[in-house]
Amino acid sequence: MKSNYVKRFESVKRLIWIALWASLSANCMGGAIIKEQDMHFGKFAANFTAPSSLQLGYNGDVMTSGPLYVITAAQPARFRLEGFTANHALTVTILDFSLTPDGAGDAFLVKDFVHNTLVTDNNGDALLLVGATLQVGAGNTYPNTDYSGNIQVDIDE
Amino acid sequence: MNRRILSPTNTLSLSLLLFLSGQGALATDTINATVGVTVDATIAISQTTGMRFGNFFMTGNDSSETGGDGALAAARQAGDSAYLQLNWDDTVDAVDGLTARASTVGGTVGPAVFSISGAAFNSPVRLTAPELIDTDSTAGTQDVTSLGGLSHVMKFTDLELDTDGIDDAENNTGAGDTDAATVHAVTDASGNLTVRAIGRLYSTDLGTDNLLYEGGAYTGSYTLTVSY
Repeated sequence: MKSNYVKRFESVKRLIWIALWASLSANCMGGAIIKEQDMHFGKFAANFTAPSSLQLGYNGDVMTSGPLYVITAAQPARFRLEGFTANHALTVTILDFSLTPDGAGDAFLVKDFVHNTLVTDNNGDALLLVGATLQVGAGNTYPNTDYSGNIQVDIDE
Repeated sequence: MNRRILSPTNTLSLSLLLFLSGQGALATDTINATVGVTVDATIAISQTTGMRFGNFFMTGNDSSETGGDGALAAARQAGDSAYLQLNWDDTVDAVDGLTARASTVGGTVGPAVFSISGAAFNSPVRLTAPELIDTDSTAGTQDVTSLGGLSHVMKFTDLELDTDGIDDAENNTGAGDTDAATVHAVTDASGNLTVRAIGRLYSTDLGTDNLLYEGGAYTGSYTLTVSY
């Protein structure tokens, strides 16, 4: 026969486990992020002896600075967020990254990310649109080819 | 001995504390995706019509002539050599030199025509002819020689470029103008551009005064580059 002390200890242990589960559940809770469209800066030409940049808005608008000329349109990244806390503002964090060429050559820096205001709806869903600025370094070697990189998007509730 | 045992009350508090601490922690979701871009800074340029001076007679000089501000490598006295000036309107002016002579006798005459395509739309491009684009005293020359292997050589120089279809040159012709070697133009809404070119053909030293250039076809070439 268990003593009162043992019974109480088991009761406490059970409650602790419940609390831990609840806590971990809360930590692991979050929605799904589904990529609907990759970000692509399109095709462009430039005089690479001077600095230039291509600013892609989250709505798809493009602005350029310096001797950079757009040949085909760019498109922002689009992500579908599902299952997040309803009617809740979400925070987006994206770190700078590089686009490297297929083969030898210098990389483009992608930075200054922009996105739409991210608030979930009644179902906890939202649409995230992301744009960014592609920077061209003066004097670098940028061969005519495709460049690619990886964007990591962190969503915090 | 005074044992401190967790009571249901303070256990619940602990549970709540843990739960709330969990709720308060940030829930971060992450996704990785691919980003791309394509660079294509090449511009296609092709000659659709060669420069044609037609048929003409020309005599050479009897010695190398030096000095002055003429176009021939900064070493030709203006008027020393005879020359043929190709015009935008498909005509050629024949101008005699000090001793050399030139005269036109018809034939097919016209500016060279170049077609630029595949460039960015409505975008500025730069045209350069490294050897001889300018008409100032720093202009270089390109040899124009007989297809028959004759030693008679003419000098082509004073290249002028037109990019707007109006019969005038876009390159700055001022002597010593550092920008004269580059012509700036803008592609159309389809990324195309038409460039016309004219120039001058000078007589040279043939060793014998007033020696007539031998009959036959003469050709030469020059480089025209386009870039952003």
